[in-house]
Amino acid sequence: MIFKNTRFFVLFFATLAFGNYAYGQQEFTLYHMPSLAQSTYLNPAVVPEHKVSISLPVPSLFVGFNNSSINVKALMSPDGTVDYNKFVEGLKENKNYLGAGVSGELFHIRVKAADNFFSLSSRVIADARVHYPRDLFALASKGVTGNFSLSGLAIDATSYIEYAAGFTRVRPDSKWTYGARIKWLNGLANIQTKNTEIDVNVNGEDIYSYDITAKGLVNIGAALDGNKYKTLDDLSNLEINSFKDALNEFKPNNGIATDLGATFQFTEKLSFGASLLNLGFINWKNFVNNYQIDTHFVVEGVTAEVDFDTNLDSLFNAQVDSLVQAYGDQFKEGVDTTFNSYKTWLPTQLFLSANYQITPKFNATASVYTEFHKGVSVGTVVGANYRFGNTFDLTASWWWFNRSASNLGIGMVFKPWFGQIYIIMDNVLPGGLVKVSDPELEINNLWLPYGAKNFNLRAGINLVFGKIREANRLPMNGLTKKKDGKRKYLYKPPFKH
Amino acid sequence: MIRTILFIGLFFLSIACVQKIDDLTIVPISAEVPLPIGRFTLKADKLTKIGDSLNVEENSEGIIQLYYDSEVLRATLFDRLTIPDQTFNESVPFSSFAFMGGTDSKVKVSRYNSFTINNVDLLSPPPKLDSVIFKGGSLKVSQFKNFDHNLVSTIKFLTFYKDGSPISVVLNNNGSTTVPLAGAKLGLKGVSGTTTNTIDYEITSVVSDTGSDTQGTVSVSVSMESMEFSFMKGDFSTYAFDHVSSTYETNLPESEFPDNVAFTNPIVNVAVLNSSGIPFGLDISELSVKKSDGSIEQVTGSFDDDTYDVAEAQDPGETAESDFTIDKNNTDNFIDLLNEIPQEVNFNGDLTANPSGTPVTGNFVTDSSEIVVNTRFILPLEGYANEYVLTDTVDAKLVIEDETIIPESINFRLQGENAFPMLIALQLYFLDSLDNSVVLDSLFLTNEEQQLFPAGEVDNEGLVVAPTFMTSDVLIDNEKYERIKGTGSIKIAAYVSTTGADSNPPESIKISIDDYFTVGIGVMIKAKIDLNNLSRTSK
Repeated sequence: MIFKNTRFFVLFFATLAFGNYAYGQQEFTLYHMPSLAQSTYLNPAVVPEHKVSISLPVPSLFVGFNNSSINVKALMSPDGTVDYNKFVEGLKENKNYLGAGVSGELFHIRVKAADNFFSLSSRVIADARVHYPRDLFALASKGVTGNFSLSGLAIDATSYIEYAAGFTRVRPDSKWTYGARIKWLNGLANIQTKNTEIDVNVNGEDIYSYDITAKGLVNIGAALDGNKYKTLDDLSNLEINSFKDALNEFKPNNGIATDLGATFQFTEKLSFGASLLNLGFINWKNFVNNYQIDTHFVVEGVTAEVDFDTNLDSLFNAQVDSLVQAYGDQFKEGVDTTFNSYKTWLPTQLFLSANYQITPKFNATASVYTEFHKGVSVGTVVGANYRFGNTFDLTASWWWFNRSASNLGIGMVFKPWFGQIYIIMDNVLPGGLVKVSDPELEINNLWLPYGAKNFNLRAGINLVFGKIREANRLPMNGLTKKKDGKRKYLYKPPFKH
Repeated sequence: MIRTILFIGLFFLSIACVQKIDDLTIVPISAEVPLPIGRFTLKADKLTKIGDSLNVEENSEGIIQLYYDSEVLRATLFDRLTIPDQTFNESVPFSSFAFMGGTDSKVKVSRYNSFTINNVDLLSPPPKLDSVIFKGGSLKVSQFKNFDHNLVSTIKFLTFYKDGSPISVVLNNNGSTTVPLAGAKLGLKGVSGTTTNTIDYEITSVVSDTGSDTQGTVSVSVSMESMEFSFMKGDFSTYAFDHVSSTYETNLPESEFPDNVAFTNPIVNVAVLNSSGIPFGLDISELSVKKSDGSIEQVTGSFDDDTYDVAEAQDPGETAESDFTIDKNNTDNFIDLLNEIPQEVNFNGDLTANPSGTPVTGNFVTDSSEIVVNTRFILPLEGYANEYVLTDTVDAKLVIEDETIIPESINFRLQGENAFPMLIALQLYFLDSLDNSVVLDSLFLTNEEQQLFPAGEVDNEGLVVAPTFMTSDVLIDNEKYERIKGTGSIKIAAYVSTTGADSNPPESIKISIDDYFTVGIGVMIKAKIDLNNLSRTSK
């Protein structure tokens, strides 16, 4: 019986029960790869395999895409029936979202000193999220009937440069490891919407006029001099022809954030981890435009005086452009533009994990991921990590996320003598693959990921030096091999206090 | 062992996830899209279709009327009042005059007389001028003596003023002088019973010298040449001034109104503008119309029984207007002829100056005096129409060539606000695309369906007092679409029936400047989009 601790079962199944409601940019597999220095981005308390780690010559690059509702499975049944109506019905009324993110390390170095690890790093991060209501897609399938609402349509996109200093405390005589990172942020660009209400009422009593109400706030910020560039129109004067130009124009919006982490060796095989990430904000105050929208207008087509010689077709065509202009002007009248600074909070993430060391080379993990961004999003993941000698680590994870239970992640670390070459993918086989052919539609052997809603990829190369002996790594410190019949396993005697 | 299990597990996981689909079935989507096309308003003052060249105005009662103006006569009066060059001669005899004792002495002789202006160019009888004001010409005075003594003569024209004083010239011995006449005013006799136009003058000649007696004659010659006048006043007498004749086109459409359509109050208004001080009389000798078939028919009635008095201006610079009306009240057949859509109207008459004799205050003309005769053909929008049909044919292709789009229904929402006193019914005929002669279908099946826009509510005068509102849905379903999708053109027929037009006798309505018709058009399109037809379409 491997899982003989009942508390573990409670935790494990509790995490499963909370699954299927997480959104945002996440890397679950990386969290379960402590041999990589980059795993400290997800838990600063993680203890790596080497005393020194430098992200050279290929820095760690990450791209990710995820969404709540759109995938091949939602559109196409296993028998090949493509049903857009069913897809729309499957959307939530308001809480659907698309997200994409990229990040690239500019540099990273982590060094062990005594029982401590110190790190410096810098990354460029971009993160974009769009929340949309069901009615947005229902326009194509049902058209416009009565009232429809695009309220809840929201955009939140941020890019920034992160400069971080990290510290991890590893005491041999403690069950705890602690870690923290302080991050100084330079906001590059941001667009966010707040409290958007877009309601359209088609008046069925008259000539189907559209009664449109739009409310909300749109904030736009950029790393430019607000005294030089006031409005978006002013940006047409922006000329960047060289790196020097870019430096001259660059005026970042500053922010600060912290990551906190800890691990606890609960039993000789079972440990727990927790990390709280991105606890901070960026204050956008240089180039800032705030658009407070509160507008209402009625679209009722052309209004014209005619005579017997009027060509209605020509009249209508001639007025369409001016109509569009007029409605645009009407909309602008309801927009109040200000230039006040505003604050955007980073999407705070919480990891709670459990790690069970099955053998010295094989351990199993389970974790719960919670993100606090426009509500609370929760995901669940179980994973396994196996070390194939000293040259290759394989990590597999299976996670429940965004109403999908088919998210397999794989992480591979190749360890030549000079360092670590790694590639990590979440959602490798999410829901299977379909091979679609339809001669009438001129589709021939089109391979599609059937259930994929999300995909993350991280890759890079670290230079590492000074391998820490396994016996000296916490929480492995002091483990000894024991025998149980024919089976060998690691045993860690209780700490002496 | 664990390593093997992991690889095998991953392999089977991959295989199990692969699925093969060889035929896609796309469930069609059926979307409904409402489109507000717009609201179009036809105001009463835009009702010009009846005659392209007719103008529109509002009359004093607020009724819309169409009109066409024509100038029948424009005559300048002053051209007919000219005075030719005049020459007058006078002799002043000196029988004897002596100089006492050889000393210097004088002999003075004065003469008062009149010149008569002859050959005034006017119709008989000639005018009796009271005064004229010159704007050009010259007065030349010459003197001749037949003796050696010194002679000084002063010639003074007592009623010939310039710069506020009588014109006076002084001549020495045999000499002459010329006086420009621009601005001079000449007072003439002749108004009060005198039949000749005369100029009074005074000649005073003084002979001076020393020596012996002598005798002789002084001859004075006066001439007025190249005379131009800016004003004449006098008695111009009664005379036939001019004949007025005009033919003008009505610009009405050539086709006749049907029997059940009529304008009930057509009017010809004659306006005479007179900027002279001469009253005229206008005798209308003929008013006839040329009908669309080319025949000419006289307008009969009492309108030509009497002479119409054309008033004179009271002062120079003023214009007097005299209006005469020919309408249903003084004609017998004008309404009938009008409703046969006359293409031409012929007008003949005669103008007589001072038809009742010269006014007590006399006549005057200025160099800008003229008489202008204008006629205005007026068609007030009063009448009735019972199912008067206006038709037009427009090109239209209704077929949707994209086979992936299958129209299920198109609903035209027509929202009318009718403030005209007439019911507007509509019918559309869908004609084939080959020769536009085969009617594929019509939009409506019954007359009731066609009556989309009821007439506005009218009062006893036939004027609209409140608009009516009506919303109609015209549904073209898939079956009808299948029948009409081969349409090449659409014949639109609008049936107009005024309120009370079907009464006996028909009631007449009036269209006021405030009348209007607004139609709001919206379309609800429901279409099925079937991408399964995409391959067929592309092939």
